[in-house]
Amino acid sequence: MQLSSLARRAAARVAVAWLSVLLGARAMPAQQRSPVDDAIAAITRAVNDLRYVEAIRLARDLEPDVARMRLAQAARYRQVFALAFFPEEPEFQRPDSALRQLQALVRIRPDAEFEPELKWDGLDSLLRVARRRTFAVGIDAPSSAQLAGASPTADIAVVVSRPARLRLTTVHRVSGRTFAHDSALVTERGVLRVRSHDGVAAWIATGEYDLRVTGFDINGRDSVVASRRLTATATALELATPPDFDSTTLQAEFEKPRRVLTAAKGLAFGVLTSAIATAPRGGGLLARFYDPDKRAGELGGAIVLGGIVAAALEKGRPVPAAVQANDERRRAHADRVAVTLSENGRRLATYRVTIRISEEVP
Amino acid sequence: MRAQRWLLLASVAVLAATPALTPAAAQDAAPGRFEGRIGLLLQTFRLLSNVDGAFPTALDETASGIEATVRLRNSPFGAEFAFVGAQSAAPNTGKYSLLTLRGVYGGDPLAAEIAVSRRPALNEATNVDLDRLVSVLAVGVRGSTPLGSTPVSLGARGSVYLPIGDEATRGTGFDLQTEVRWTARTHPVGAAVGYRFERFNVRRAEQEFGAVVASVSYVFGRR
Repeated sequence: MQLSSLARRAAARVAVAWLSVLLGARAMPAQQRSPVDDAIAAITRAVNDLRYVEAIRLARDLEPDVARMRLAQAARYRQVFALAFFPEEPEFQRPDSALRQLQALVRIRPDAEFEPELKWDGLDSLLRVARRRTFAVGIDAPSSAQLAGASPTADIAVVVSRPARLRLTTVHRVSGRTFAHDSALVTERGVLRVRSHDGVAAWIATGEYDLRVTGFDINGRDSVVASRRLTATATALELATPPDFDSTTLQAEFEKPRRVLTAAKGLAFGVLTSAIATAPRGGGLLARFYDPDKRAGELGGAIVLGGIVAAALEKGRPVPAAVQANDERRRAHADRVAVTLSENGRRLATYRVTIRISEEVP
Repeated sequence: MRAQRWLLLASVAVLAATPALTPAAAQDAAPGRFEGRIGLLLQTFRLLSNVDGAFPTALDETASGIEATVRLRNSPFGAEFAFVGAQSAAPNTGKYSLLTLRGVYGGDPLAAEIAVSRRPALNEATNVDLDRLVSVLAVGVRGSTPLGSTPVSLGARGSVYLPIGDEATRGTGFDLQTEVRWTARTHPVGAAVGYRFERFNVRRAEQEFGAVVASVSYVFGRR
């Protein structure tokens, strides 16, 4: 029963392989096959011919070149490599090795599915295991886009293997200058936007960048970075630098705190309050029969205490003239900045950037 | 007493209504020609009286009332009004009511003032009955200073009573008062507490008045 199933699958593979060869032969003139494609095809043939040991050897030989492969090539390579480790024949199955290849596949293509001629149920279930165990972010960027006008953005489709908060940044390859373009909470698929400017300054000019999507597992336990090389060609742009504000020339808006004077005022008024209930009294029977009003002394004591507290909290009295002068300086500076930004905005409105995003998986 | 209750009720109503009747924007942008405050007063006082040949007596009471000050903006002249009253619980003591009208010249930190008032005093014969009225013309000075950068100011005033009126009501003496006044920076309200001492003679009786004075007020026309 099993042999019959294997025979059917082998026949199907041969048919698909022949079909591929025929279709490939028709497409050949238009599309040059690369050595990597040939190498992957050789591995595929070895697997289809049940020569798994040879397929594994060929795949291992190709491993150093994975970094230079296009995304589709790398995905195909991982699939074939996994199949070489986990064919239908039980005696050739090495699930741990196959799982490593599938996890590598999920890292570059979290939504990857096996191509029909490669899939079988066991391998599919192993792929599901790989998805569960791997936190990955995939980038499905357009190969090129033009960013211009008032809304200079391009959509970058992303896919995640589990819900994550994503952040899209570009890093200039020479200067290292980084811009955070967009962020979003994505459960499976989403779109992030890359922009050429923010209305104030150019974020992308002519040059080489790393386009990075950083994913943070919503449980906060893991993070992952997916990146592509972004090459930008931009029109000339010269932005005026907004003038700096020299805060050292501002006038002091508060007088120097006079804590001793404040405490002395509290003391003087406290003593005075206490004294006016005592000192001006007559010396006759009233003074002999009735003591001075104790409440005045208590109130005086409270005033002295209040003076001490006020002295401790003293920050100096405001200087209205200085406040007004400083406000005028700030307003004048804000006006100058606004003029500069307005001019920069006009220049940015005509700013055009063409970006090309590589398919290579670093 | 009935009139005093109505007065207090009216004062509370005016205090409660005034902020609502004065739009905040109008207070900030166009404060108007006048500035000042209107508020409620509370005095807890002791009035001592002594007549030659008799034992001195003391009357302890709490009086309440209303006060108002107003001045033209940028003018050195201002006017003040104050009324406090109390109905003594002691039998035969009578009603205590003190009305004061005061004119002020100057501002912070120093001002001169002149006041006329009709103040009650104890009967020089009985030392108990509050049935004497003293006519007072007081001339004095006042000063105030802010307490650091806080919204609190400290003030003091003193005046001398000049003899006016007929023999029966003529009084001489002086008064001294200190005051701590808080005025909110963000709202048109304020409060004050202080101590007032008066010593005066009417007919043959020497009398002393000491009171803790507290007030809360609505402040209007402040820039």
